Amino acid sequence: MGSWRTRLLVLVALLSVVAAACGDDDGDTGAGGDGDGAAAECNQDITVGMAFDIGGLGDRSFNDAADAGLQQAIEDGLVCEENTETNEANSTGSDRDQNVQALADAGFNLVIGVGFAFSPGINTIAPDYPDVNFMIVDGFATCGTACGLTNDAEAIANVADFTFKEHEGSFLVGAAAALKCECDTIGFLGGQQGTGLIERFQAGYEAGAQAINPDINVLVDYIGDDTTAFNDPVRGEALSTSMYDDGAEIIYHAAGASGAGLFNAAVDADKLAIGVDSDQYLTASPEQQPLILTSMLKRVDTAVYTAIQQTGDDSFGGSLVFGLAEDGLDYAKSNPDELTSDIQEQLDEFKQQIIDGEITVPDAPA
Amino acid sequence: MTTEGLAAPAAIVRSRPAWLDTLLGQALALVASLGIAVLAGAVLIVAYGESPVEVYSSILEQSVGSVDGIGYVLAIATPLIFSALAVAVPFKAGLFNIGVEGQYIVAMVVAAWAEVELGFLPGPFLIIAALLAAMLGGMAWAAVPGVLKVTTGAHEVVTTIMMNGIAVSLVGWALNFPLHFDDAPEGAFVDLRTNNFPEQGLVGDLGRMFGITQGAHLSWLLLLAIAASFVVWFLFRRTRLGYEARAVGASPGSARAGGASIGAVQLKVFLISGALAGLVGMQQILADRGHLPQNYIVALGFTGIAVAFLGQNHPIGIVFAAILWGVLSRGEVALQIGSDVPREFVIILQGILILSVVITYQIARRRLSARQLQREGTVGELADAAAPSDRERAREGEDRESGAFAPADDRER
Repeated sequence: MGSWRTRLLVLVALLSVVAAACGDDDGDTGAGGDGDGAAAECNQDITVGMAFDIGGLGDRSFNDAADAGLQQAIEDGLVCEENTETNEANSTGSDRDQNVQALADAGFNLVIGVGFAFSPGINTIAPDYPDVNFMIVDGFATCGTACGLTNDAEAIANVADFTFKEHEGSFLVGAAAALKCECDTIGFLGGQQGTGLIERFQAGYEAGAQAINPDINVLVDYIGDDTTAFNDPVRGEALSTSMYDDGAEIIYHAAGASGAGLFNAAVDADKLAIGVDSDQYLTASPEQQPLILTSMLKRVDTAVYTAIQQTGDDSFGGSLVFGLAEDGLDYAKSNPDELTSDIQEQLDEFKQQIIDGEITVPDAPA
Repeated sequence: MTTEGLAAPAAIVRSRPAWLDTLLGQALALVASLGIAVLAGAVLIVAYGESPVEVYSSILEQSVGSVDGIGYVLAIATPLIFSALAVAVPFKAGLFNIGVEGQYIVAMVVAAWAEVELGFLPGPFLIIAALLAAMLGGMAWAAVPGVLKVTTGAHEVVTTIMMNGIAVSLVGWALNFPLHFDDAPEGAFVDLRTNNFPEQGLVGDLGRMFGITQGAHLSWLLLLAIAASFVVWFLFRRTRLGYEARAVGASPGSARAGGASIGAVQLKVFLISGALAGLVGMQQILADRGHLPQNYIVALGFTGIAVAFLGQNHPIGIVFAAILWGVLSRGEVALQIGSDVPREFVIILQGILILSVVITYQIARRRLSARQLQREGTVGELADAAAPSDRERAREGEDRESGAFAPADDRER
């Protein structure tokens, strides 16, 4: 009879025994190590799980901003660190919804979906988890069947969409561009065209620039019409270079990772650029930094922090829209050499006027 | 092949029939490769300072530890069965279809068009229309490299990869223009996608009757996938085309000498592959989402290549390989909660598994051949009259398992 089989069987059996032995050892130490950390002063009553979309932590932008909100909440004792968990979708996006459901199954009180793509999945499963609060950054889950989703808002009272008035923040950086360059041409580099989202950035930017100089010419270019437009720095650089060549003195981008191309083009043209979502001055290379006038800050961290706070004091419920008044948007002040204090004063004035309702910023291009 | 009784009694007593030998050998090879992968994984886990037992049990817990988990595993396996079959069919004929990716993406667009435009059809007809549309779409996309291969000799690996890129852009265009979602309420920001498909056009939930969560979206398409694998098995074992395809794959020269038209066989095989690829995306648009979103699940076609290898390109093996893949994929979800082992661990595990499957199967195959030859010798000594036919049968059995060109008596069936 085949002695190789016997040998193979013995080998496999041996190996599995070894594996089991290793496991037992580790299991013991693992169980013993859970005792510490109880002394920290934090709210033990809630647990928070956060699901990232494709890309996950380390994007120096949207996802990292969400994590910053969670870390701030931990620091402020709103939730204990050991009661938090994050996960992220794989590169194909196939387990995006599974990750959310796994967090809900694990019994987290608050489950945060970072990105609009979580909306359909959370809309579907939310009724099965009435005791779990779901918050979606940029979400549209509560739009319900009108937006083609499974459940209407009444059936998912435990879901909240936290969105932003990106046009208000874009208004400020548009005004900053016009104030800075005192020129007649500036540019806007958009990511994905056609969904109405990036058009909001464009509308606010144009309105802000026109508030300073009604005759200003805003060149507009979009990278593409699907999500790959947010991840195409090569095309971003080509379009930016051509806008700089056409006379744009400053270009603002709302193009995600494609924006890296804008900063490269700015270095080549030796002209100014404006970042988006997070303070991109902080993550730019040394030769790019002096050219980044400012960034439109979308305070995803504020949204995450707010959701955790609400869950802690039982006030969670209903979607929120974060504008300038809610500290949901801002502009970055990391480059005072270019964004001088007198420009900042005027921007703060605009900010107050928007908050007071004296200026209404359009959310679609004219 | 009803001449079993001709073999010498002594030989029957001393050894098992060839098919049982093969089956046992392959089962053992599979167990061995699983063992190797699990062990190598355990070493990695220990290196991360975690317990292999805990990590593996959390993977199993998340995948087969509950009805919900099983539902997820089977739902993940459904598209992978189709895509692995789409890879395996041309592979038997010596062709490598890397374009399953593009074919299923195009098929999703065509099926979405059918769902949106033919909404007046009653339930079953609309679903059948969408599935047919998907198969035609996949076939059309596969036909281009197929025809190029046959007429100009352009290598299918290159052409199918190029077609993938075009397919991705085609979806972007379709979602922005002809299939654009136009029912969205004013001012609402909704992701880029098609209109919702009519309710009657969605494939029914299979999981509910077993108490599986709706979130898993386990659907009747699973049964269609399993049926498809039996159809592919039948195609290769019981039809003239399947026989010719295997012949072309094993030795184009002999196949031509045997009267097969290589070009026609290659094109037919590519079209069948495209039709199977067309069904890959149906789970996500007809069962999961109910529309075609811009952020559809990608890479199912490429994963199909891995699953086909894991299943050794055998239609039934593919079903089990896809389920195993589903178990591991659920492991990724498990690892991210309550473990320091990074989710990439599962990808490494999948890689080790494929490698070890290929190696152990090769070893098993060689051992089996050696045994066959050995037995042949014994039989020859005992009953020389029966030996020639027995030898032929033994060789046929072994060749068939390796997908090689089988001798002429195979055709008579």
